[in-house]
Amino acid sequence: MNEGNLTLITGASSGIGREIAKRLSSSRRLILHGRDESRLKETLDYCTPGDHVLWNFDLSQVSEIRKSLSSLLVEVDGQISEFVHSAGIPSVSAARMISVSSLQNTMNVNAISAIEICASLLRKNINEAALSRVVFVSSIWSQFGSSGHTAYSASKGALDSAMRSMAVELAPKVRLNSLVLGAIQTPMAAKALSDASIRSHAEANYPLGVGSTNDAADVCEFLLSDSARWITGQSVVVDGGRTAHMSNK
Amino acid sequence: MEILTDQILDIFEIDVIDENGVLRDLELWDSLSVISLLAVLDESYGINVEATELVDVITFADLFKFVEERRAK
Repeated sequence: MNEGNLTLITGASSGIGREIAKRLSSSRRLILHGRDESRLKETLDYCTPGDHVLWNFDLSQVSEIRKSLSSLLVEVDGQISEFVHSAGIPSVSAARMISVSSLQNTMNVNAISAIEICASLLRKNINEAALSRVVFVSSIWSQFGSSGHTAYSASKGALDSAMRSMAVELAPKVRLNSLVLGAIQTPMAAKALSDASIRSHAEANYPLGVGSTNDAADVCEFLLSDSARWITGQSVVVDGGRTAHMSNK
Repeated sequence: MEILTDQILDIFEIDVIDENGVLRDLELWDSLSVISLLAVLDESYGINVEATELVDVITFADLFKFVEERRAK
């Protein structure tokens, strides 16, 4: 890999993003993004030592992304060739309780920031148009409905749809795919899964059980690699068989 | 408790709170309303509550008492 090339991972301060960072750190120079600087530093401790960089930024501030990213790229003296968008906020609310501000916040962090980062990284004057491989971390809620998930589903659906159009427009130079994940055991999910009824529901509906962050990192690493050179514009489902399972209940 | 009162009126779409009213008898009491209520307790009062902890909270008076006690901890 070219030494001037970097891999940007958003949401690297915990869960799936942290695992992807840990995995990719042995072969790449990373830009680790997160809102919480101390947790980002913890991620750095998990990584293979290298000339990695931290980008402490709140992605809900979408109109500031380009400026912040431009400054960062001047400082680090390199270009971003790979981008993994793992930042995301869960959002559960009754449809009648949705507010414009919470909906906008979910859309900003989960979808609009990813598109804005891609747009920025495609610019010659910011990134020397070096972007070549992109993975968006999406969810099975982008394709299937679930009570209370209107905002979250809308944001992940927007992310997948944007990915497909950009994949067509930017081929063959840039490959984009999304990782459509089912329930993954993360610190955030652990709390919900500690509830016996939620745990037994998940065990009954996931033929291969609940996934680990390693399962997500495995497929992410593959999609970024040259082994996936003929794959673009795809929502790759990694869900332990959840969406194949028609429950009798 | 003003924020909690306002939020309860909004979440359950009621005009007044009868302190002796039973929460589970509210027309709009369901799992998603409870999630909204828990979100208010977390965001406005810094109280992290599991739904199962509300088992003994029967009336609005119980709810206000519960919140007071948890805030005092």
